[in-house]
Amino acid sequence: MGVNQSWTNKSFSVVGVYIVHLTPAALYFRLSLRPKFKDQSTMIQAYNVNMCYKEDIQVLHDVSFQVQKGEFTFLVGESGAGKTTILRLLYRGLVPTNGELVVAGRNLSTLSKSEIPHFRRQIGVVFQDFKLLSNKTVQENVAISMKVMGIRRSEIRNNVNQLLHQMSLVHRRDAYPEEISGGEQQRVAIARAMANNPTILLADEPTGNLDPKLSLEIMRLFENFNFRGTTVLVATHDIALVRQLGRRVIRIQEGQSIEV
Amino acid sequence: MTTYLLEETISNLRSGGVVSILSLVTIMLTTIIVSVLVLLHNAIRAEVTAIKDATAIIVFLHDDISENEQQRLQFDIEDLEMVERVVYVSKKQALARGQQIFNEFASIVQGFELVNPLPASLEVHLKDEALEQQTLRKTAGYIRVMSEKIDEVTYEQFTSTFIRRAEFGILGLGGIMGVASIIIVAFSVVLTVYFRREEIEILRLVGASSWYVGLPLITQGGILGASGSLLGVTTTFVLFRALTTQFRTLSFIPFHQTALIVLVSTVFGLLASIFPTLKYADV
Ligand SMILES: Nc1ncnc2c1ncn2[C@@H]1O[C@H](COP(=O)(O)OP(=O)(O)OP(=O)(O)O)[C@@H](O)[C@H]1O
Ligand SMILES: [Mg+2]
Repeated sequence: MGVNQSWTNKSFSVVGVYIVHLTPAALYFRLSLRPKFKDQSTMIQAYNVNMCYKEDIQVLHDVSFQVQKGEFTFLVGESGAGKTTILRLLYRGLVPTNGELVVAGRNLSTLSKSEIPHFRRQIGVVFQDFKLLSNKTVQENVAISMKVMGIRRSEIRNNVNQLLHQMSLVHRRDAYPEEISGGEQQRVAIARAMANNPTILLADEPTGNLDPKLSLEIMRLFENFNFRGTTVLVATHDIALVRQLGRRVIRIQEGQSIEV
Repeated sequence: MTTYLLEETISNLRSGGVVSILSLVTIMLTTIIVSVLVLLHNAIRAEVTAIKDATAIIVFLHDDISENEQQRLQFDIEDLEMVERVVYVSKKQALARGQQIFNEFASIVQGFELVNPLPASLEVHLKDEALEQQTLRKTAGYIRVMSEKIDEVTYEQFTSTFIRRAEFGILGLGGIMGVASIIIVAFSVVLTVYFRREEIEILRLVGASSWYVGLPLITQGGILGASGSLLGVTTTFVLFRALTTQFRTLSFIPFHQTALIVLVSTVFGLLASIFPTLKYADV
C-alpha cells in the first residue's frame, strides 16, 4: 500500500517541477492532474486534506491515504485525533478546507448539492452517535436507507427481516430507539448502514457499546459483507480488536495520517 | 410514494403539536371571518343592486299637467348630466303598483279606483357615480324648480359612497386576516422544520433527496390550509343556520364562492410552506 501512495506523490512532484506556477494552460494541466484515479481499483482517495473547524483550530494536516476497492481497513487514533472528521469528509458531511477527496469514483470537490443524495446512497455509514430516528421503530429505522431510495416495500421487508435476524434484533423490531439499550441501538445503526447494500461501508466506533464477544461478531459480519464486495473502513480505538482481525491500519496522529 | 407522503405529513403535523393546532385554528378563524365578510358583502351587493334598480329621485306631478308639458319636462330632465334615464309612471300604473304592493289590502285600494289619489310621476334613474348624498340633493333641488307642475321631489337617502367604503373595509380586513394566516402557516412549517431538524439531517445523511424531505413539509402547509378552511366554512354554515332560522330571506354563500375560499386557502397554505422549506430544511 505504501508503494502505491509514494508513487502518487512522486508523479505529482515530477510533473509539478515542469508546470507549476506557469500559465493558464499550466493551471489547466494542474487541474486535469487532480487525483481523478481512473484506476477503478481505488475506492477512497484522500490527498493533502486539511480541515479547520474554526479558523485557528486545524484538526487535520495534509492527510493523504487511499483505500482500494474491496479492502477492509481500520482507521485508528486517540480520542480527538480526527477519525470522525475524516469519515464525515468522506460521506460529504463536511467539506475540507483544502485538499482533494475522491470517493467511489467521484471527486467530492466537483459534487453539486443535488448530486449529494445519490452519492450518499452508495455509502453506508454507522455514525458514532448512531443518529437513529427517535420517532420511528427499530425496523422503520433499518428500512429508512432503502425507503429514501424508493425501493419496493416487499423487498424492503425481506431485507429488513434478514438484517434484524443477523443483528439479533427481531424481538425488538417494534421498539423505539429510546426503549432499547445502547448496544441494541448500535446494532440498529449497523443494520441501517448495511441495508441498501452500499459500495462503501464507513463505521465510526461501531463496537463502542458492545462487549468483546458481540464486537467480534459484528466484525465478522463486516468481513462477510466485505467478502461480498463492499469496501469497509472502520474507525476505532479498540486496538485489541484490530489486532485480532489483522487488517490494514491507517493511523491518525496529531491530525496526520500514518500508514501501518 | 403517496403512502409515504401521507405518513410523513401526518407525522409532521403531529410533531408540530400545539403549533399545528394553532395554525389550524387561525386558518379556521380567518375562514370564518372571510366567510362572514363574503356573506355581508353579498348582502350589501344585493342591496346595491336593489338601489340601482330602484328610482333614485321621484318627481311627483300635478294631476293637471298636460301630456306635452310632461314630455318636455321628461326630456329636460334626461338632458341633465347625472341622469341615466327617466321613466314616466302614469296615475293608472301607480295604482296598479299600489295594488300589487298592498295585496292584502286590495279591497281598500280597490276603493281608490274611482278617485285614484295616486299622482303620476317621473322616476329619475341616476348614473352610478351620482348615487351620492350631495349630488342627489343638488339634482333633486334643481329638478324641483324646472316646472310649475311639479308637486314634490323625493330621493333615496342611501348612498353608494357608504357602500363603496364598506366594500373597501371588507376587502382590507379579509386581506389582513389572509396575510396573518399565511404567516402562521409559514411559522408552523418553520417550527416543524425546527422540531424535526435532527430527523431531517439524518434523512439527508442516508441519502434522502430534497423532494423526499421537502414534499411532506409543503403538503403539510396545503393540508393545514385545506382542512382549516373546510372547518371554518363548516362552522360558519352551522352558525349561520342556527342564527337565521327566523330570517329565511338571507341565503348562505353560494357553492362556487365556498369552493373558492377553500381552494385559495389551500394554495396559500402550499405557498406559505414553500419558503420556509427551501430556507430552513436546506432542500
Ligand atoms: N463541530 C466541531 N467544531 C469544532 N471542533 C470540532 C468539531 N467536531 C470535532 N471537533 C474537534 O476536532 C477534533 C477531532 O474530532 P473528531 O471527532 O474527528 O475526533 P475522533 O478521532 O473521532 O475522536 P473520538 O475517538 O473521541 O470519537 C477534536 O479536537 C474535536 O474537538
Ligand atoms: Mg469520533
